[in-house]
Amino acid sequence: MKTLIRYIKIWFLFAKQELLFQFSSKSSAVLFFIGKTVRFLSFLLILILLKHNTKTMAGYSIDEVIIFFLTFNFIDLVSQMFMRGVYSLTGKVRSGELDFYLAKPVNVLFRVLAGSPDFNDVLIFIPFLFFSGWYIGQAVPLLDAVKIVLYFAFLVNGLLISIAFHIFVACIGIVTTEVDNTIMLYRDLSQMGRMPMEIYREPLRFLITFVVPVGLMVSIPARVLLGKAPPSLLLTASLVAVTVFLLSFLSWKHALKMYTSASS
Amino acid sequence: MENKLLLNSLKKYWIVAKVSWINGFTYLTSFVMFRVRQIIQVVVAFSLWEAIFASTITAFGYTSAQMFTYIFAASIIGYVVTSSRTIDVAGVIHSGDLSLYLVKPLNFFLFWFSRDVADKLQNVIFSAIELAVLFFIFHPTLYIPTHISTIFLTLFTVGGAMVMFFLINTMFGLLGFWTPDVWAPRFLFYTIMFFTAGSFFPLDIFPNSIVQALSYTPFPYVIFFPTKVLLEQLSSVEVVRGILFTGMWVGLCGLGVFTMWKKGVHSYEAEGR
Repeated sequence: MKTLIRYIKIWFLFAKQELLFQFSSKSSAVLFFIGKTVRFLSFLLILILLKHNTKTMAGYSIDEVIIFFLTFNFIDLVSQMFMRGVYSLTGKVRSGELDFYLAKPVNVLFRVLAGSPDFNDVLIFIPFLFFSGWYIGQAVPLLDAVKIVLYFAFLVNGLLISIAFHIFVACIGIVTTEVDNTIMLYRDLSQMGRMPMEIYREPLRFLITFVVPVGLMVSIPARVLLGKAPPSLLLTASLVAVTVFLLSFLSWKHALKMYTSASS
Repeated sequence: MENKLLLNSLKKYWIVAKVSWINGFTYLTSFVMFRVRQIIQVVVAFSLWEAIFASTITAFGYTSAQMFTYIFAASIIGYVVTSSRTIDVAGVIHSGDLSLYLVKPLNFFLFWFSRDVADKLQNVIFSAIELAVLFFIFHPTLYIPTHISTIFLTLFTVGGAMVMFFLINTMFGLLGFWTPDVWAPRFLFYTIMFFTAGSFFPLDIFPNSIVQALSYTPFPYVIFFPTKVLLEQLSSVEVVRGILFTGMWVGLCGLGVFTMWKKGVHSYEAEGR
């Protein structure tokens, strides 16, 4: 408990520094906010246009597809807000700055993952939450407490998978000193979860469900809400999330041993 | 004598392009990841439309074959037009490394354009292999232009789009003279371009008013317009109008680059060196 409180305090210190840094350029913050809003609204516009031109997509109505899209955005935004640090890891490995992280009495993985929260995403996250709440409330028939609790439980499950992937990317960053395209590849793969997994052909569907389980990360919470997730799928999703989470920690320990501090 | 000078000049930029080509493979993991990303983006677009056409014969006035053909052609044109190394220009200016370029017997813009050409060539070669694989998976209907003039028109519009895209990106790079925060405006530009260039869907799926409004911006001329020219889906008047607009945007962006460069170099203080 004491350690947890200590790390929360440390995170707030990081967050304060990052907030001051990111908003030192107000115009950049505004442009990022506009860009992220445009991205969200444009995709939503395309889905709305689809609604007028087609009835279903892979067995889902377009209203249901929008729930997948909103769920993807929730997990994506939360991951971006808290784990932005991974994006800048390459520079730290190449310059040897990571040595300073290793020498400090703070868990290195915590520092790498959560050391640079992204406040630009916070700006869009708040209106997004209100919109999602409103939309789900009116689009999902027979919304009950069980569905809502399970939805949030599997959002956490999805976030666990997301954390695991960020750790894997950090591992690749330490071993190869290259992160940029790896993290973007993860983002591209996770964006496949914007749509129901059923739109993808096999073996791609299997790949993004079990090998790189970005499909489970996003689609399970949405399917829970729509009452289309059998218990066996929920169990599989939980097992996969715990497995990749544990594997990511093992990989991190291994990667850290391979860090040579060559540039410092 | 003049021929020799021209040859030497071409040789310089050929070497720049060659070095840039080699640089592209320096970080092999990143290179492979980038290629995989390109495949994923096309697969997502194909899968999305495949799912849509599973329950309808036509959507937005397109049949499934027409849509797949469009996405296939747009992917090829997108690979050629949108690959660029000018993303590094701002860093070069802001770090003070520009000083090294200013004292070299090189034209700064031709230097970056040569790098762009190498990047585009790399993209075209690797994407040809990737698209061939995707072709065998999704079987899009390949449209062979019926007029030889279409090939020339397509090359012309793709050339225009390449120059326009290079100039726009260079302008974002030149912002580095005044601010280190060039990523934010570039992010906004790329976000808008993602939805309005026509890489993943033809822009005419939007309501007519939006298509009309977009036609006054440079975005449709990056991918949508050259792709429609290649697929011979535009009238002569629309082709001429598109070429004129591309030309206008090339002119405006060229003027923008020229003005920014002139003012920027004047105020440049080689900070950071």
